[in-house]
Amino acid sequence: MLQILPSVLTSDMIHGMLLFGKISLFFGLFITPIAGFSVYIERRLSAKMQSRIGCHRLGPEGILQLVADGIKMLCKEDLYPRGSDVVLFKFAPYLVMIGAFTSFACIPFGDHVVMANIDVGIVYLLGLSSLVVVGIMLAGWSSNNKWSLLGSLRSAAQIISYEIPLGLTLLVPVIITGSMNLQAINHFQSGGVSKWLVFYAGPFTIIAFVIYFISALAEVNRTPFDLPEAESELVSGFHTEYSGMRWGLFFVGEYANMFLVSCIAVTLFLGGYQRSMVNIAFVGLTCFFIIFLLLQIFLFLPTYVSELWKGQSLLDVLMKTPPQKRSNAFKVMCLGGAFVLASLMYRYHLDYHWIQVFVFVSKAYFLVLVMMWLRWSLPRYRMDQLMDLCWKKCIPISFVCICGTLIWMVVQ
Amino acid sequence: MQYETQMYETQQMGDQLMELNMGPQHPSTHGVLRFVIHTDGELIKRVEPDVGYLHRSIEKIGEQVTFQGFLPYTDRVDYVSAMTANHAYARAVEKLIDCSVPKRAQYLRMLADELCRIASHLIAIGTYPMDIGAVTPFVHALREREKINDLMEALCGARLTYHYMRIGGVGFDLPKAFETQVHAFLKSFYVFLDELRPMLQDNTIFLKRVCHLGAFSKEDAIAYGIVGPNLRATGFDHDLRKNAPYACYEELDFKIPVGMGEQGTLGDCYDRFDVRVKEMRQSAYLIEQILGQMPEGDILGKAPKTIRVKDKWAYASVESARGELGFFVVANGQPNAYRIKIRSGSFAAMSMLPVIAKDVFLADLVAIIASLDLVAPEIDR
Repeated sequence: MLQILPSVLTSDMIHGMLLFGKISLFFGLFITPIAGFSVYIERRLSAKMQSRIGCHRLGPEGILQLVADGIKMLCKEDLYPRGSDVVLFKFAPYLVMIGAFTSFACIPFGDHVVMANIDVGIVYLLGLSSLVVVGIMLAGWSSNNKWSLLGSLRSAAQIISYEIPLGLTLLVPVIITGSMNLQAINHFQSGGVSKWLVFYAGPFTIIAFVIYFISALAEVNRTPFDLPEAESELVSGFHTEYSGMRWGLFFVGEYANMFLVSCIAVTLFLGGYQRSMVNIAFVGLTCFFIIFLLLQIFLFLPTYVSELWKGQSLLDVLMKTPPQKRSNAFKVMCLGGAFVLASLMYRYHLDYHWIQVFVFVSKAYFLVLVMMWLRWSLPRYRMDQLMDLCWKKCIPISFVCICGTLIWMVVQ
Repeated sequence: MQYETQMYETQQMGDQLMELNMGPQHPSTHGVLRFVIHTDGELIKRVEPDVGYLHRSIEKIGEQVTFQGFLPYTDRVDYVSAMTANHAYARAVEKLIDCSVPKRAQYLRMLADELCRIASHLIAIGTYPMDIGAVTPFVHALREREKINDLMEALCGARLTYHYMRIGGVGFDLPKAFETQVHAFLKSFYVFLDELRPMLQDNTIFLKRVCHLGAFSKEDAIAYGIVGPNLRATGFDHDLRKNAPYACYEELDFKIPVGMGEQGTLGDCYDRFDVRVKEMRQSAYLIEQILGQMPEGDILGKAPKTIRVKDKWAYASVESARGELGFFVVANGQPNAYRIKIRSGSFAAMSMLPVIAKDVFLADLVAIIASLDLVAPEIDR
């Protein structure tokens, strides 16, 4: 068997397999942990806004909760409702995941850190977001549940309607830079915060960015547009009948989608991965959280090790060690250290690719945090009000933005 | 009439309404209620409430236990604001046996009632935005309700079903430093009430969801027997504490908030929400006055050990958070009652639902149910 392999494997095939491996690693080690971490951050953030603590028990500050949730989801019974179309039922989550994940292929995280530098990147993104709609509709229909059907139909109508202002506002950076290639748009914004596309054409690009953000919220079914998954009416809308890892796929797909639209917003409006003072400030804040968590783990280790030494099992140690409170002084020190680190990076002109990736991810994550903030403060729109907002308000305003940008460009 | 959803339903020709079952288990926190909804897509054409999932035969149990023994059961009639149920039943039995209640006991009863009213309204205005989508006000409202639960625990030992009142008075006197605790609670409570305005009442999305929805007129409300904040939201200021005062309410100074239709139609969901918020503020003022004017004295009047009254009936009601909660007690010489009938405000409100929930969206139905403050234990007993 082994002797025929060298003649069957061409260099193209090896190249393809390596690429497949790289892409899988990217999704498995980068996007999925970000999505999983978003779940944890959402729980802590919402708790902070609601005067409670959130998940802080499992592991230092509760970050092992996502591992526990993942394991729990894998161990659940794989059931599907009686009378449902099983093939569609099983296929639907994959469509949503594919739509969310493959869009990351064309987003540049750094100067040469992009999987596929497509010349029509924006068209590619818009096309793949429509795949999510198909997935949602399949999920609602195949659940054999009138409430899921309602949820999926609402979601389909909402996403399809809001793709129009999304596309229109995405046209604004295309008009300004003259290219649909996301790398080219990034290079256009180099040279400081004033070169960001959101400040290019005065109020028109700012409004375009706001309309884009609203449409993006509608695309990912987040409050105030989360009628498809309205808890008080539809339990969970189109993913009511899913349990275990299938639901986990929807869930991770939603957070990956959130991260995706934030990445697109950052690339097209907020300067991409370009290094600047403001960007380094974002990096500093991200560093703060990372340093805080790392120090927590570091300071927790003696307790863990001593418990293990006494003979308790690893699982017991991880789950039963009580959470420790860190004082405000500790947090301020972490913040100060993070900013020192970030300003050192700026001062010594560290332009390696990883700093660009870091800048990009922290800015995109800031937008994800804004989305979470909005979810926990605002009520949701009713379906007809949502549609009214899209067709009667967002679309005319995006047209005005496009025309305004064109006029601005001609006048300047 | 059977409403069963079948797995493989066949629609008859020409029949275009979809039958949905908003079953006894659903995430709206109003208890175990069931609605059979006939919709045309998302527009609701017909709503039929189906009650009885929380029926515990409390009225029948009243015929088996003694008059005093029935008091803990009255807590379970409306466990969201249990003090008022206690109060109403105690008043009914005191009317039956012509027992007089000392002044201090009356003031303690008023204090318990008003604290309970705040607690119940906190749940009402907490779950209402939650059903509309904003989850955070619910958690904040429950945070305040936790403080009231702590006060109740200090007062009578229980957090939900109090059994505080007795036939002839109340069970326990104020513990030490109760007044300081109440004043500390009220201080943070006023802050919470002020926070509600920018968070919800001035929020465009909330107003869009809530105004002009589920409005009914004063005459309709009276015809259907609606009481409480639902009635007051239509502009009719009927409140038992002013119109038929009991338990020393005539000695206190407070206003009855009435719906004014400032946002949207008079009597819509916004007015019901607004009336409850204003009532909480009035209850807070009432509590301050009660604590300031509390007289000294006994907390329990003279009541016989075994109550035997021959051929007599009595009806007494109090203004609970959901309106007039009345107990009709008939005695025939036995230590148990012959018949106890409970009249609750949520039952009438539920009957109003099919009338006002026509041609609204599915999302609006949830909003209307929440605005009427339906509490299932009161409906089913």
